[in-house]
Amino acid sequence: MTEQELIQRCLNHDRAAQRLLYDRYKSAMYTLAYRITGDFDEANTALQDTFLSVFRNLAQYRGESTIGAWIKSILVRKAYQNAQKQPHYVLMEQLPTDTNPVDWGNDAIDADHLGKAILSLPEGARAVFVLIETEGFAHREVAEILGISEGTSKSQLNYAKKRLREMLVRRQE
Amino acid sequence: MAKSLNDKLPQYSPPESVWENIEQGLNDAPLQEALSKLPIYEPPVQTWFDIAAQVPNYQIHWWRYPVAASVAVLIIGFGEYLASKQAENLTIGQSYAHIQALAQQEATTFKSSNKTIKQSHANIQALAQQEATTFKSDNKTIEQSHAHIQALAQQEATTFKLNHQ
Repeated sequence: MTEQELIQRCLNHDRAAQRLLYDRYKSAMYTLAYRITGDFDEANTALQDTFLSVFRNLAQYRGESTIGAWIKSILVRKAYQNAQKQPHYVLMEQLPTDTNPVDWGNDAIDADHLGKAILSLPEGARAVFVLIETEGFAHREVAEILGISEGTSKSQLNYAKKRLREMLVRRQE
Repeated sequence: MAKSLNDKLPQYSPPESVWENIEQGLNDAPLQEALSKLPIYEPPVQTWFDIAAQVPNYQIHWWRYPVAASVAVLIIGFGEYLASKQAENLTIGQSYAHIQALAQQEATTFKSSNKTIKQSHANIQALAQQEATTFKSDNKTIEQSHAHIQALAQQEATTFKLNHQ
């Protein structure tokens, strides 16, 4: 079944199609929600609220992005709404002035250590890092979803990378 | 020697940011490698059921329409014959059996005959009307008969559903 057919059936409130759409995206969305919130319960709530919103508002989907990108944008907002908090961004004066690319070295990075380091980032920087580096969003899209400027998105990403590098280096020592 | 066309056309240089982005991508290769190995998580099974319970399910079950139509028409038809109380020689039990057989036949042939729901309505109603005009009441009260008819209609709906699932 093509994505368009699946969407059409979901618009007709076909429960089997709704389940199929959920199954296609549940793992990716749950994982993204966990990486943003750092909490499995919050990720579960965000996932549930996201798909409820998707099924109730699917008529508003205009096909300007993939359905996956549309669901992701809802999920990111829900992840913060559910926690009733706005992501905390690192203040400008705390951001590194050095804008050179981060040198990750030649050794392979341990994924387990990286996963833990990501979760220890401040919320705002973590959200920007996850959306751009693991989900492939552009700064413009991240700015729109998170309600920040593109400049903030870029500076938070730069901060996140430098902070991650520091944590990984410290762990190796 | 004449200049080639390429030499005559203007030459352009990309902005410096292009190289910076390429360099960033090259530098981030170890990061991307590690990110691709991050675990994927599965939500709890219960999550889907919680979602499904809160989303309306308007999925069309085609058999619901003829079943609903059969029940409605049977009740209307029997209401009419009970009201008319026109008599011939049938007992009420025989009449019930007759109506039930006609309705069952109608339900069974509904799918295969490609009738529309409207046609099916009309047919069942005609059968009920015919039954009403030939029926002679025995000693039951109208209320008893009505209750009985409703039970028969319900039974008919259940049988129809089972036959066409």
